Amino acid sequence: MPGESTMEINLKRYKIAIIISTFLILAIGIYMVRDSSLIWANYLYDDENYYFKRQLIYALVGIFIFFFAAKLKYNLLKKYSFVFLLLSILLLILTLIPGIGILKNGSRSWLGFSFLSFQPSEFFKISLILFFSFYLEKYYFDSKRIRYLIPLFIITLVGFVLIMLQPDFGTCMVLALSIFIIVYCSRLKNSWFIFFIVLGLVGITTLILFESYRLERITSFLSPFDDPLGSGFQIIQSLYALGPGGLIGKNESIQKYYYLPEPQTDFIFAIYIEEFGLLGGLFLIFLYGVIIYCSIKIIINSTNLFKSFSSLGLLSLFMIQTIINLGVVIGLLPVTGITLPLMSYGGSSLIVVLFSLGLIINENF
Amino acid sequence: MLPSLFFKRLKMISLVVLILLSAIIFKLTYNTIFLYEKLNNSAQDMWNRSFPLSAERGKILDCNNNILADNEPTLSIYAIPNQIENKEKTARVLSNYISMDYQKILSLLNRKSSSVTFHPEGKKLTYEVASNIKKENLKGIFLVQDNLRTYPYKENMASLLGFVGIDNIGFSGLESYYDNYLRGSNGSLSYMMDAKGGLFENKFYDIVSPSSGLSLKLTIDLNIQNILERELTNAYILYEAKEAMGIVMNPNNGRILAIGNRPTYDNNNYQDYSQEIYNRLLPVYSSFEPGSTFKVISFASAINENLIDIDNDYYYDKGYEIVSGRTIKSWKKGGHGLQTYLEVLQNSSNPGFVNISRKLGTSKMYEYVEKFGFLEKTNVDIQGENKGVFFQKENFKELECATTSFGQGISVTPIQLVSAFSCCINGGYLYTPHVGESFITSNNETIYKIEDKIKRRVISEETSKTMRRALECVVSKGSGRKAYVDGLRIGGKTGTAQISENGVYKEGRYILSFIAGAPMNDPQVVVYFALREPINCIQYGGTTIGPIIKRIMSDIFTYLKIEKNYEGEERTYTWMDEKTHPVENYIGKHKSELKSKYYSFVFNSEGEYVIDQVPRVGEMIKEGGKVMIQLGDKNES
Repeated sequence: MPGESTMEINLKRYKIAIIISTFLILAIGIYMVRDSSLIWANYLYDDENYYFKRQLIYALVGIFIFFFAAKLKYNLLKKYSFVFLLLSILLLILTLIPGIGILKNGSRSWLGFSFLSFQPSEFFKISLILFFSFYLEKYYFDSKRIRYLIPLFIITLVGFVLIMLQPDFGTCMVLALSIFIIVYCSRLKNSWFIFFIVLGLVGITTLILFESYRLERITSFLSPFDDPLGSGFQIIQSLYALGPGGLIGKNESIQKYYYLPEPQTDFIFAIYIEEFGLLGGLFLIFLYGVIIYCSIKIIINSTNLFKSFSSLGLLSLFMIQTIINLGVVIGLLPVTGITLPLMSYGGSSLIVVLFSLGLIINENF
Repeated sequence: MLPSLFFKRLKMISLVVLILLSAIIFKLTYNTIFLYEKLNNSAQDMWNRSFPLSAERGKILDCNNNILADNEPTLSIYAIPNQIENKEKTARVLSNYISMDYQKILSLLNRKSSSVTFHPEGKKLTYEVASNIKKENLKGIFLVQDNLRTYPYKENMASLLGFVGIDNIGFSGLESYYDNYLRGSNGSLSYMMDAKGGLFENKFYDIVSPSSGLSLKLTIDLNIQNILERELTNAYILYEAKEAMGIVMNPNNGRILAIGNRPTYDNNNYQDYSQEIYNRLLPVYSSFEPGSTFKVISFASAINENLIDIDNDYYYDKGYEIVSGRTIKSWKKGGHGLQTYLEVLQNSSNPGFVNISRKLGTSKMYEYVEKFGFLEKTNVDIQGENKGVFFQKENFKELECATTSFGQGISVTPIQLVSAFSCCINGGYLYTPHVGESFITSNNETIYKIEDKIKRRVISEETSKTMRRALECVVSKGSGRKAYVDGLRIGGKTGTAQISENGVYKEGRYILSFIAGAPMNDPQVVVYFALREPINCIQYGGTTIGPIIKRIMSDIFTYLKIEKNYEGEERTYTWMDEKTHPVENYIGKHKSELKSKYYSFVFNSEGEYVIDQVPRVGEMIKEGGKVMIQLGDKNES
């Protein structure tokens, strides 16, 4: 049929667009990791390429994973989704055990040793999405009623408790929003989502009141200049990178000269804007937009409901992280500690993101 | 195909994502474009550590370009706490060189600011101290160019010039009055630094050069000022006066040539003195009862209104006048008898002035007091001017008018009196007195001249001419005799005012004053001099201040080379006065022709004819003195 072939050609275009955008962002990201971190790297490790070298290796591994994910037999994921889920929960439990889990920046969220360490919560994100997709496909017509979804909520709750024990509020939030989106695309009645939103707001408020540092982040977000050396520090330093970037940016970032702590992670976008200005920023946002747009097109045109649910979930992880990170850097949201997918320094996150994107363009059932 | 509900809800999600991305783009644009200016400036402030480069303050010069206020280059310490490695050690080393204690220095170094100064002990250090600190090679300690204000004439002119604070900002006197012009603008040297206080390569620094302030040239003449200062010091010490003050002004343009007071202070060390001393230039700050000097004003007013003919109208001074039930006595018991009005002024007869006040009437009197400028400040360009105290118009009745006519019951400042007096003798113009002459750039260009300003015309040229003659008579024949110098043609008026406290006159406490101008054929200078509560002297203005005026005038005449003129009012003598006579010309005459009833001759060398003589023709000789005559042959001369 001629109609079918045009659709196939279109889908191919979307995939190519995703691949090109992904690799462009990845290249910009690797450049920015080196550029933004070299001052700190030199100061801390006497090696200005410290972060760059590592990021390069992560990227190479990530690219391999990306193509692997794009080619693997998709139905295997459905078949083993429950096994993956149990495995990832096991890893989360292991992480919490002192001596096995590695403590970094006040969170016990790492497993492994030094270079080969990774965050099981990243693995959990993907396996939870896959399990949700498997479950929602299976019970799609029954998903109208909440009681069919109760097992999903129980599993989610278990995972969240384990992640919050690390603690890692950011990951929970991203994951919660992502599963909200895929559940929203099930047949569950609208009224339940209003209940979920209210529940989410109450939950977040409770968590904020429970841990005073979160409240501090909120107040410093609302008026960062009240306490420029304290909690408002990062927000101000971020704005001092963005503003001077202007339309086309300047030759060299000054904020990376120790003003912005760890500029290669959460605030890499700020340094990027400082050097490439608004135009550079719009270009980068355009690339993210292309990935999101093309992914949605692929989801819409998919004939496999499991593929649609899982792609939507993985895309949700990707775009929620992107939006939250950009929102924090430009001063729209309080500081959360969420990195920018494909750009920020970090192996686990990069590999998981590339794996997700690979799955989105996978057509091998 | 995708279930339709899935598709519908996915579109909803896409819409939300689109809105969120748009919001991000909007905020990013807002931050980088609309907030660019603000954020960039704040960021620059954070990145830059700047050291002030202090501007050189304009100098203050006298009218002959003698430097009255100068700058000495010094250095001040700045510290960048982030760059200091060992704060304890640095603080200990610094405490060896500056007079700030270790703990205080350490607490400054521990401050969380980008740079700190050591105020005031670490500022304006001499090159010697600074170079020692430099040798210590302390990291994070910088020495920055600064200036120290110096006043070479110390106590002289201190109240006039004032002084500057540690930041080179004018605090008092002219330094404060003309601060905006003198100050200049500080520059800065800013280095861009990273958050750990490290310097970038040379590309990241910025110098804003300081621009020097303008130099202020004064109308003050240092030579005349020195004459005045000498007399102030002498009188202040000799008569143990509470205060001494004086003004020398050019009556034809209001330029102040000298002004000063005692007590004074050294403005290089102003901290050692109380505010009452350094904030007050007495001739413009203090106001007091002028006494008889004020008679000049009422006398001129009456002449200008054609109410008295000073030579042909007479007044009989019976020793008192009764005004509104109060008796006003003449200082001489029984009065001066029948006198012309010129004699009324010469003798400073209070009942005579009561009569003048009656002729003038309250409204005319008030009008002239106002016109002569006694109800307002003169607006002289000196800090802290007062305007004196005068009656409200509705309270100005016959008695007030009478006492005003001879300068009692009111209070005026010396500068008001000098302006008004100048007006009486300069043809009738009231000038705004001023000490500023012009502003000069560091390239010696005069960029602004302070013009002489006429406030208004008060009396006619004719009246002024009469006043000059009358005032000259006061000095040659009347109460001002002690100031008389042959050929200088000084005219003036004495004043002796009793000090009143809360409306009660204090016995034996006087302000003695004298105001004079010279030469009366063409007045060039007005001199005012006053002493508050002097002791060891006759409590009479003419007697005590007269000789001071005489010395000041003589020295000014010599310095300014004002030609002497002997056509003035001849002096009348009392038994106390030594008489002097002009020497005639004898050169070329035969020795037998030499005769004089006032002096004798002493002959030198051989000959029949006079070839030379000392004193020369026209010079004055004391009665009974000797004229030296050089004789020779007629053909030799």
